[in-house]
Amino acid sequence: MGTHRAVALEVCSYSRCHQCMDLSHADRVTWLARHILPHEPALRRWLSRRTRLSVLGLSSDDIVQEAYARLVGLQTVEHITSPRSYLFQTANSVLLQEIRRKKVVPLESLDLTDAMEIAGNDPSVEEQVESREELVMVMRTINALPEKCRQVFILRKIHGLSQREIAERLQIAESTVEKHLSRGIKKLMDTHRDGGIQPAAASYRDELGVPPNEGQQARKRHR
Amino acid sequence: MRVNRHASDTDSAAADWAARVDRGLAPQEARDLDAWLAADTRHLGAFARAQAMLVPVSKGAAAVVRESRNAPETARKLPRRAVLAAAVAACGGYFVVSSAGRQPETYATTTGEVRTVPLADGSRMTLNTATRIDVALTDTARQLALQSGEAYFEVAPNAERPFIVDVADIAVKAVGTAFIVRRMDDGDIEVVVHEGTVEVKGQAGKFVTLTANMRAIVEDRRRVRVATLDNEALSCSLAWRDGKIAFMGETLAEAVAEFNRYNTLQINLADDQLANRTVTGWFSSRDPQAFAQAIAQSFEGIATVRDDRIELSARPIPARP
Repeated sequence: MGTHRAVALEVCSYSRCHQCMDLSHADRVTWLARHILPHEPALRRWLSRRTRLSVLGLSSDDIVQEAYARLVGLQTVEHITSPRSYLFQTANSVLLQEIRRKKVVPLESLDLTDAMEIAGNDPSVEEQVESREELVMVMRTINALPEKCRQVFILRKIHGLSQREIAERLQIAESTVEKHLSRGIKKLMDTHRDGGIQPAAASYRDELGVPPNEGQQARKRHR
Repeated sequence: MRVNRHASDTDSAAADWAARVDRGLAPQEARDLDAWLAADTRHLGAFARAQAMLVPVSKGAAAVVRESRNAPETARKLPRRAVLAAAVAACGGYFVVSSAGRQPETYATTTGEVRTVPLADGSRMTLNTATRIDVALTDTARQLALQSGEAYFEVAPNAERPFIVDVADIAVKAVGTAFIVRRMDDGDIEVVVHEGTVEVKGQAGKFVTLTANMRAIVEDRRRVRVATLDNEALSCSLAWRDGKIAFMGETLAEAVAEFNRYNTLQINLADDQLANRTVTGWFSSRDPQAFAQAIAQSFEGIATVRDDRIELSARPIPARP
């Protein structure tokens, strides 16, 4: 176990994360989970509205993945006061790079300046609201997993048990635990991908009686 | 950026890698991961994103949902008792001194403390906040008496030395198993079985036999209510061992009472309006301030920190101009 863990860390610091070596890769992933992930749905909504990515032969996924790759490779994140704005700016710069490279300049893609505007309105309010929405979405997704998978995922993500401990506790093979986790991860990746547009946002509105955007507006007015 | 590539396939591969790295890689796998990451920068992004999905939910995070649809009625309808377990039951638990006449050893935790104690027979007990328990191990029996609070027992199997936890005049008997016993300050007793089988007995004889994922609440030392917990509810019952409190649709009044078990800095719910809102989420049991702030933020409330308490109240609705 111990040696395996050491190998895992080595892999992360070695492969393409040379810059992460001072800040462990795990810390950076935690930072991504806490400060970037909640804003992904908003970023995707913006991407789907503002640009004709298909003209570039790209999808939102490409931009998002590339943006994450850049964020995970940053030397430090200390200077980032608004992760939300930073995420939008990073995605924006990925887009610009692609536009330059392709030498195809669709008109819609020129209209990129409002990325800052969208991201910068009142980042602290948006960050709080989106973090909360994301948590609801995460819990919904976990709850909707098949029973055994859900059980495994909760023990890992919420209770922090290792895969081996989960295998012992549930009396199942470690390889099965790994499969369940992989499945849960994929499911969460999918909901984060669709979350901005689909069920999570809709049911959130149903239950609180206020659409997320109006909620934000209301909060701003109250300040 | 090259095109012609399925983002969803990349995500699937990334999810597999994240799960593998999470358990630890063999050297060959490490080389394979390397090669995969080197093939496309987007792979690194997808991989980091996949790993982020496993990062624990942040402490003090609050999610507010009216109903948690998947929690079964049976589990939620049993009320989480709103009690302060710090109060030691006045009736005093009776204690059977072991036949060998050895003095029992007493273990206790203060408010907010969670402690795991290994026992000489190979069993382990984890004491929750404000708990006091006497332990007497002899050759023929393992006899414990829970005076107050709540404890989780992981019992080393030994059929010749039954493991018995006395709570007031109720005895909870196990052979090799894992279970929770909690003594409420109103005298009710809660038993939750995590693994194996446990017998709950009163002075008049056996009440009930519980198997894994079952919970019994003994009221007035006579009536027993038994419910089956789903695994999620069971995880919630066990969350305190990791310094967490889990809520799945409890009312705010119940949640606040539960929080107050763990902290001397008590939360005071100064508003009836808020009391019936429901709370879902995982919280750090020792950070009442973070909890109060999360709640205030979620419910449009105000959390005021005073010297001796935290006050939670609804925010006044501003008059329309």
